[in-house]
Amino acid sequence: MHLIPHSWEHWHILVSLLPSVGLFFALCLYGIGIYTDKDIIKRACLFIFALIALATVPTYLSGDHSMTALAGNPRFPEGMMNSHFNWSVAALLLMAVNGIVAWLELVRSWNGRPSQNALHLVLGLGLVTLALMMVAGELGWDINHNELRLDPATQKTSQLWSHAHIILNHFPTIGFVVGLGVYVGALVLDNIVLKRAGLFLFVACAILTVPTYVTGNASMWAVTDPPIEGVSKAVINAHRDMALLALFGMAFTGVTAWIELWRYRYLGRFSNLSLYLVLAFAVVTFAILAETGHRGGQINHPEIVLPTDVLPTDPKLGWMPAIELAINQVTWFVPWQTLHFFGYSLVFGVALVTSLRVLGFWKSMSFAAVHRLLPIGVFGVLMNVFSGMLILQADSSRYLNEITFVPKIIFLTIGALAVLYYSLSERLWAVKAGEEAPMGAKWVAALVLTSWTIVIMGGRLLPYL
Amino acid sequence: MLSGNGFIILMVILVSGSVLGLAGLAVYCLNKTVDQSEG
Repeated sequence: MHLIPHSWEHWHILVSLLPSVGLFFALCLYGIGIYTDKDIIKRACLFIFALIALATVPTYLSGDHSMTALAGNPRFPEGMMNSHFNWSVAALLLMAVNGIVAWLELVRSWNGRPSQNALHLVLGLGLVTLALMMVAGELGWDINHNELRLDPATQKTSQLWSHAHIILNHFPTIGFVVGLGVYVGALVLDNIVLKRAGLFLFVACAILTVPTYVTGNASMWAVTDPPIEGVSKAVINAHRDMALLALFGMAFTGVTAWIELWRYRYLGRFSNLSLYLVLAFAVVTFAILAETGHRGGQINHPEIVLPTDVLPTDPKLGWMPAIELAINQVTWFVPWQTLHFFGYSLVFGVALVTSLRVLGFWKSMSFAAVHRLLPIGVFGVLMNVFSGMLILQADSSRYLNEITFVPKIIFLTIGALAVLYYSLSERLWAVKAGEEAPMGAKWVAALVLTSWTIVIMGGRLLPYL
Repeated sequence: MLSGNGFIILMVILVSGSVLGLAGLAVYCLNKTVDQSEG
């Protein structure tokens, strides 16, 4: 019950994410729906836009009351709050207009197809709203996060990491909420296209968890070395323990969801048992994500901490300090590093074979034949995410500040998202033996190969630059 | 008793063997479900 907000400020931190980050995911899904011309996805997104528009009301009210509650508090400068308020009102108004247009089109086209003009109007309004939301969100985060305004010359670890984590951590969480909504809706309606969309969102969120976890690790150093007043390492460690569980939960949900997408290609149907297993993983993961987010909020949001909250005080307690100690022993470090090397051999091998087929090599095989290999690569990614996170804990402040670490993580995310295309594209799946893959698929294959090459090079260069 | 190096080698074999073995088993089972549906 401690997760239920007890103040306007706490409510505002939570609900304001729906019209901003939620809108981002809805627009991504909407773009896919328009590109693939799937009416059910377009309709689902019109419904989501209308729901998000409803969230503008509690967002505005909680924001307005928060300003009143925080007025006069020197931690929250009035000028910054006013600037955030003005941009937010513009963004929320446009979001409300977008929601009304989306709802009207949904009702108007109930027994027919949505009109192209209306769909494009909603897309345009949504994109402009998202741009305004980005400005409003950035101004909102700036109000509380004083560490972002520290002199970079005095910092050992750049506060850009903290900035990135403040933004990124909301993507797997809110994306997961959108994914869970779409998925439950798909199960209720028993619609295959929506089931695939929900599974896709789970996999995408699982991939986004990797950069989120890494930026979180770097942020810990940025706000504790040198220490920042009011930020406790013990509270951070409590958040890190739950973040590790969240990483496990996201990985299980993401991999089981991806396996179902992969199997669907061959079987042409979903297994109900597997679908409900994914749902069970997703519900448990959602609970873990909620607790992780709550503990993360307690690190640097004194305004949401209740007098009855008992925060940890001993920075040596918890799993993460114990893991840091263990992985620094050569008997633990070397086995996980060896596994990491096995993992990237598997990932690169499978990425190379499938991508070369798409690019026009060994055309005697259909794409479906090489697609059979993908689980080996996905298990390689899974192995490397866990072994990589363990290895990182051995000396995270050093690894994270190496210049090749950022491109490694960026291209890991891009490479993993690009591989998803292989299991989702209808045109690629239809490529028979002797046939050329579509040109768009070839560009994706080139992106996959480039990304995983940069990931391996970035990783190998870490100890030497 | 194993020496330091012997213990490291044992750990490398245990960790890699168990994780790769599990992954291999999972890949085998997945392929079998697809093979059965095609057969």
